[in-house]
Amino acid sequence: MERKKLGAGLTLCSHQTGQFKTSAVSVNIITPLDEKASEKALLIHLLARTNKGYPTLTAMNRRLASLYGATMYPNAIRMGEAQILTLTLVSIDERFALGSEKVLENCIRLVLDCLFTPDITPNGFKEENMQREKRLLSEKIDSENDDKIAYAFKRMLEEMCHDEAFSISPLGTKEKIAAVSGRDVFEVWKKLLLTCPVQINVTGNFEKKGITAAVKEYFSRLDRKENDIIYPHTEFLTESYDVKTVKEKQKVQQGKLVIGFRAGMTYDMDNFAAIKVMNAIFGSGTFSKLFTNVREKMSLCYYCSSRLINNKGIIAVQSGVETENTEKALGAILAELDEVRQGNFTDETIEAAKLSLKEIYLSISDSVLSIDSWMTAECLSSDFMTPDMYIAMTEGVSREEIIVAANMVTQDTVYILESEKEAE
Amino acid sequence: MKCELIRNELLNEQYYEIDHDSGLKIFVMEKPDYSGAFAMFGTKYGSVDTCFRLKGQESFISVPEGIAHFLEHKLFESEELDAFERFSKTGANANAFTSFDRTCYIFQCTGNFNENLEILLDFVKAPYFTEETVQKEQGIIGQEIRMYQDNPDWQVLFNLLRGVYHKNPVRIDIAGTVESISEITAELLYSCYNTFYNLSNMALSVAGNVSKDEVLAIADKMLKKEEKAEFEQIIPEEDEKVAQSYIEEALGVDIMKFALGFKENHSEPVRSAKETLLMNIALEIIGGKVSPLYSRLMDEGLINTSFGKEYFTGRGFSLPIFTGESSDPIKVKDEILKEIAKIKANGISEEDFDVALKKLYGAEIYRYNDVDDLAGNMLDAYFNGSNLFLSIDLYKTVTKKDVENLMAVSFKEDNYCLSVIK
Repeated sequence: MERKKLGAGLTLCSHQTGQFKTSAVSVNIITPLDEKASEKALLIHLLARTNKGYPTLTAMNRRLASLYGATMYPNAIRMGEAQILTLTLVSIDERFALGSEKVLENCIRLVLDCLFTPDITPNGFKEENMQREKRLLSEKIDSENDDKIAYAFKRMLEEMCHDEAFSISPLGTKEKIAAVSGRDVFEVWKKLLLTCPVQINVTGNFEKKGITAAVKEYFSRLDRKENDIIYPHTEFLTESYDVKTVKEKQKVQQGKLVIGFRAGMTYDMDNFAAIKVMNAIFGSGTFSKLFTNVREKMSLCYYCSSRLINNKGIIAVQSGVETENTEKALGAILAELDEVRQGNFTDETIEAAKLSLKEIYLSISDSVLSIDSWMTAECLSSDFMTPDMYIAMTEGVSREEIIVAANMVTQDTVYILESEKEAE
Repeated sequence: MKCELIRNELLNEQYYEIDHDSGLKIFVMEKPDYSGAFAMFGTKYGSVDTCFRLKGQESFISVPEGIAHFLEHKLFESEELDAFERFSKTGANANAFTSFDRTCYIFQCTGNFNENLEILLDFVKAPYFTEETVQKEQGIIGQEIRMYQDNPDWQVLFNLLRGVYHKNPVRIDIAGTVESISEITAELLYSCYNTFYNLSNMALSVAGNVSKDEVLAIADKMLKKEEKAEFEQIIPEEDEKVAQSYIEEALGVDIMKFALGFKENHSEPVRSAKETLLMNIALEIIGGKVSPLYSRLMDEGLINTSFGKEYFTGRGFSLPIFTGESSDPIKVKDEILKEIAKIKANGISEEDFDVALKKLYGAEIYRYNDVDDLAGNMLDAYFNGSNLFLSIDLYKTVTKKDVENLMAVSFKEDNYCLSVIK
């Protein structure tokens, strides 16, 4: 895996290998997470669906089918206080094509055509396309809310970070999406092309020269200047403020409990390795405190785990519990964190945590999509880091550093989704 | 011991199929350019196996719904260290799953493969159930059941199966209900275990950075020869027609979910690789992204990008299904029925057939990428009485006519069920 600068705010991240039968290309546009989130989310969905050369859904889908059922999908994700707009295209490796087509290069051109030559009029994006994408994006948001695990997690973050940009949903809101015009999106598109850092990822069996030339050729159409490029910035709060408990009721069978913590970080890699190992011991993996005690010993839940969001310095614990057991589970989870703070864990558990992290990092290179996601996850960092570098970092963490890291953690918002039938 | 090397030139892939002296079938695909390996130890036993007896036993036993899944959870426990604790020392990522017709124990690792395989073969072959540990698990699985009850994508599918089938046990939830699992005892777990966890009913499948010889050395060390356990099952007779043509449930979702399934009636319990490929071509032609139906439904605002189709099959059941989200599922169902009638009347065009075939060929190639897929696919093919490379070779032989013939029998306009979550 390596990353190379190709121009102003433009990088090419690549992993060349003959290991796979497929390849992946993705374009990652890096923008600040701000009040234009809805417009930007709409934009990336519009760009993925049609372009000037393939102006209808059917035309685009026929093109993808002719590339051996290549799939292209748009996404808008949150990474710290940045909104990353991605277009990912996965196709088969040309060694398995039935003819002698340049499948991967055709895929890169298709993705870049989508980015550079959308099907627009002088007034902006066409009304019919706007109507369709507004509906599809709104329904995507509906669908996300119907997944109660994701919904509870999203609500906790909204409450915890209500004064921070991090609370903005990367898919936007239904109200804002409804109000956006084709002209608005057009303006956003023009601005993004000139001011946003862009990272192109390529994974698979390819010739680097041809790929680099194609990317350069497209970007040479734009007058991008280094001084105009805007790099997003994330605010870190090292301690919690406005600690609160938020309760909601819905007609669900199982209640949800989500707890947000501040990890005490001042930037994304601040004390990262120690916090990562500490988080694994606390609640990530079958050897963790939360799994072995709250699930296995207390039988309170099927899932109870913690995750570190290092690009915002947050740790979140998620669990599904009977509403009547919520307080008991909350108490048990906080008690386990105290155990870690006091150093009540064995050397075997430290080793298990490090080994499990190492396994995760080492297995990245065995899947096209996890390589692509890894490269995207690194798009904000000034120095590109490979999974091996993370292994070296986490392996060096000591017991004392883990305890110090745990003592930097402060509890913030507790979000509880109660089951209505039981609450009545 | 019999060991056969099976190769496919087009894919440039090969694997070993071994009849181990213990009675276990073993598959190994060596992939030296991968960092890790994936192992899957599975039995042909799942939620549909509800009434059985060992040959020679007097009476059949009916077991509580969800017991296969419960057994999967409990097998991780032992008198000393449980399997998760053992794997935490080696760093492997271990797990298990139960489906309608199989239960599989898996691990993925980049190091300590031999040790991990020893643990896997050991804990699956060493049951330890007591009344206390059974009771403890009821709380955890109870919460797993509740979690799925709130999952609209899961519910829409299980409601569909209840709508399609009268008696086929595929209509019961894999994890059972909070009530049914309360009837599970250690003794019942042993009965299930002794019937279905015999090596002759199981298979081990490994893919990744390992050698066949390593795998066999561990198998030799860990597995004792087992006499074949023969069992009999009672499979309830199923009516040809669906139980209900419409079924709905209110979960208060923001966007309605639907699943439309067509009931098939086959005399053989398992679908062949060819039948599966033909059905997938038919589904692609009816509702694939390049189909007229897809673009019409999209233009009219009736479906979104979650729209999909699948040939939903397993031992004793098979139905082509269309799933998705819509503001008007009944209208979507009507449009799908109309489109099927049209294709049946007019036949399939050469072009549509070729586009579908090329797309599915690409999808077939995708199945050879990740070690977990490779191990899983070898095991699946074996449990389905097929072999891994059969489907890629079929692409050269299937015809448009085959697909048309299939459509005539498998999509009956009066034998479907629409399931809706509101």
